[in-house]
Amino acid sequence: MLIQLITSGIALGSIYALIALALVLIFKGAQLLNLAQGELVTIAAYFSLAILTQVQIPYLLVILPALVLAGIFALLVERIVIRPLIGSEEWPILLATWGVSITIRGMIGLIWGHEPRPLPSPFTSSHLRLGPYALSAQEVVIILTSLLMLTFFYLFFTRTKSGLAMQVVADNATGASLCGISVSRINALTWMTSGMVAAVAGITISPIFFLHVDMGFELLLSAFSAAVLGGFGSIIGAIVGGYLLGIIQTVSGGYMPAAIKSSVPFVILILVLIFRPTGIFGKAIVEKK
Amino acid sequence: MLKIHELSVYYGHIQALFKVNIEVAEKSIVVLLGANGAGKSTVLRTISGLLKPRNGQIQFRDQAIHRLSPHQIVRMGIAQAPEGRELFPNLTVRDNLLAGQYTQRNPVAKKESWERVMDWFPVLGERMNQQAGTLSGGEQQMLSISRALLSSPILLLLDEPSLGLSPILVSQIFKAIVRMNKEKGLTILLAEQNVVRALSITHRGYVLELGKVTLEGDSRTLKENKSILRSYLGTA
Repeated sequence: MLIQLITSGIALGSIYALIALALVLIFKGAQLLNLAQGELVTIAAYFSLAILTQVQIPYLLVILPALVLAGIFALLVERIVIRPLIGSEEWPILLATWGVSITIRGMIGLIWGHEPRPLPSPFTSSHLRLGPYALSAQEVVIILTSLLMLTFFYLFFTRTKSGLAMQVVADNATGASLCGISVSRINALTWMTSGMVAAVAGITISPIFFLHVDMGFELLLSAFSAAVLGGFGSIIGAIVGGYLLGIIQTVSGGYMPAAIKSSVPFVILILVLIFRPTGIFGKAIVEKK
Repeated sequence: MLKIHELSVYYGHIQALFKVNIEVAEKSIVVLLGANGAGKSTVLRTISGLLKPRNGQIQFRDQAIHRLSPHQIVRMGIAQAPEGRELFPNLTVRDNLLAGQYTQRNPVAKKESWERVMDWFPVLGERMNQQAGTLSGGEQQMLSISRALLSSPILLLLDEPSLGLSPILVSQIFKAIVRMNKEKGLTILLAEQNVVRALSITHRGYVLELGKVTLEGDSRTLKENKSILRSYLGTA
């Protein structure tokens, strides 16, 4: 029982880790909190649903085209909504991302309806036997895909020129422009990457949770708690916080009534904010007055 | 090589530069002198595209550059070690230097410029894996200059390279400036408050006072001029 719970926890944690990572990428790179991050998860799930109902391809193959579409979609959001606002204060930008969130949810409702829809995956009904344990195959798919993605992005960040440019812009945009780096181009790349990271979460979780317009928003709330737990603004913190929160939520959920299970992330959020506001890996920011 | 013509720059409603004219000849070292707030940094920031002029032009090798973005100006061959250094404090010294090479494609040239920088500022080699924010002031200054050099500029802008450094480090940095110019034919425009030292290594100088050029000429001639000291100390 406990082993299965922990596996499910790691699977859910992978999803949180990906979304928290996507959130932190934009937070660091473009200095803004993207409240539409959850909708980038949702839209990717619906993209894969649309692709799967149009063409007969295996579930795992849908990840690639859905990722590309999600990346382009995130890029468009940056170009159309965020870029014209660059240079204005934090609040208008924050509200604009909230507007994007509401708009996308409305659009999805118009196109695909408000009823929950299943995303067919051959892995939902099968199990992997590991000695006495039966693990859900879809959960194993989630864990492996997420690990693959995290490794890929780690290598991208640390080994490529564009990855370095993204880190540099996040650390000091003026300094980056003095190195010949186009900050607006890197910002666009950051949005695209963040959209794709979120998309992996949406595509892999949908076969377990049904697709619905609010799925991304609900996941965002938990992922936000995960990022705070890890230390908001820290990339490694987002990932560790994501896995921790997923495991804590699932394991404790196994021993408590289902009705209060979903409150666990918020209880953790409140506890972290009271006792360790910098999170696990975060640094205190001293604001000059 | 660089011609600044009737340049006027504003911060909001406040005018910081008044019809400034400056010329920098190829392979020369030119110094901008003046007290704090005289407009030295404003000139350098405008050349790099971090500020946009309201009036006037900046021409680099007969091309107007005053409407280009900072990253385009770096690609044309103008690099700057700016005021405040603008390093990447949370990244390692190595990553800071690699960022300086961002525009460079030729692997042979990249290796060469890397080795040259290590030769000029050997202390950076010992600090490669340290976070830039943890370096001493002098090391940060060397890192900032090195990062600028790694984009293989034709024109190097240095904003008060000796600011806040110990006398030994100041000599080291001034020596490096002379070597860059002699060994690589690099053209250098620097802002300095260290008047006597700056005039002894440069070819030409401009004195700025409250956003206007009040004096210009050969560094040797300027060195004899008594009013330099007055403008350096401010008019008060």
